[in-house]
Amino acid sequence: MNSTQRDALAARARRARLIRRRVAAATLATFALAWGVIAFHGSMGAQAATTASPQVATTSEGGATSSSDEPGAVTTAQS
Amino acid sequence: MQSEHVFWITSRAAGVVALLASSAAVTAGLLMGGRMVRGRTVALRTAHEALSIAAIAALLVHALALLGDGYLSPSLADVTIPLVSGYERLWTTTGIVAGWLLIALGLSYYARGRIGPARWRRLHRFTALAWLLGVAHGLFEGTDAGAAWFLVTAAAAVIPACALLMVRLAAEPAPAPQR
Repeated sequence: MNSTQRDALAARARRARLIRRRVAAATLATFALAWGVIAFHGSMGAQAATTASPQVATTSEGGATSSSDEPGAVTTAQS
Repeated sequence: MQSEHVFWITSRAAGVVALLASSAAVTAGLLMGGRMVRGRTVALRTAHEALSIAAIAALLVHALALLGDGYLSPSLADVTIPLVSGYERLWTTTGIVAGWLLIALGLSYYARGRIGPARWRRLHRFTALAWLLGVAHGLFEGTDAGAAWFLVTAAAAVIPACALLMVRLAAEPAPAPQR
């Protein structure tokens, strides 16, 4: 193998390394971007969120009024 | 954003990367195989191989990150064996089958000497089918499938690959009639 062929092979290997590095960098950048978009703008999918909401029951009995607050669980499923 | 969602978000982000990288790999493969780009075969082959490895890595992260999710809390069998998970069974199974096919067909490149080049080439054509199954999994089960950013990004990656696939299928010579 003469030096011209060696140089051509070395140049080809350099180009291949560069392409591999670019693909790896683009993959990591896309992952980071997707992570950020999903974390800050996306819904959490089928995660159940339990929130307490007060249910107010009012009863009137012989002029006296009583009320009670009972926390009720509301489950929401996001999609 | 809550810390309990970290694995869930990681899995979804890796799924997006797997979809984009596999679509780009299929595009590069079809451009290369269809001899549509002249003089850049080496660059295309290198990109095709690197994108395929990136897609496989993303697929592994996509499945394994789910194991850490506290809400779904799937077992290893749920994310690796078809029909085991009860969650969206059809599309989960589609994704698992697509994932295994993409991994097996992708890594078969390194065993093509043992498989035989002609047989390997025939086998490698099934990658397009595995990729289509993966796209269906992403579109029909993906949590982000309804989001505009996902649809636009996925379309930008999937439509060129689909167009090239149709061109390739149309250009395939019809099999000779058998007597």
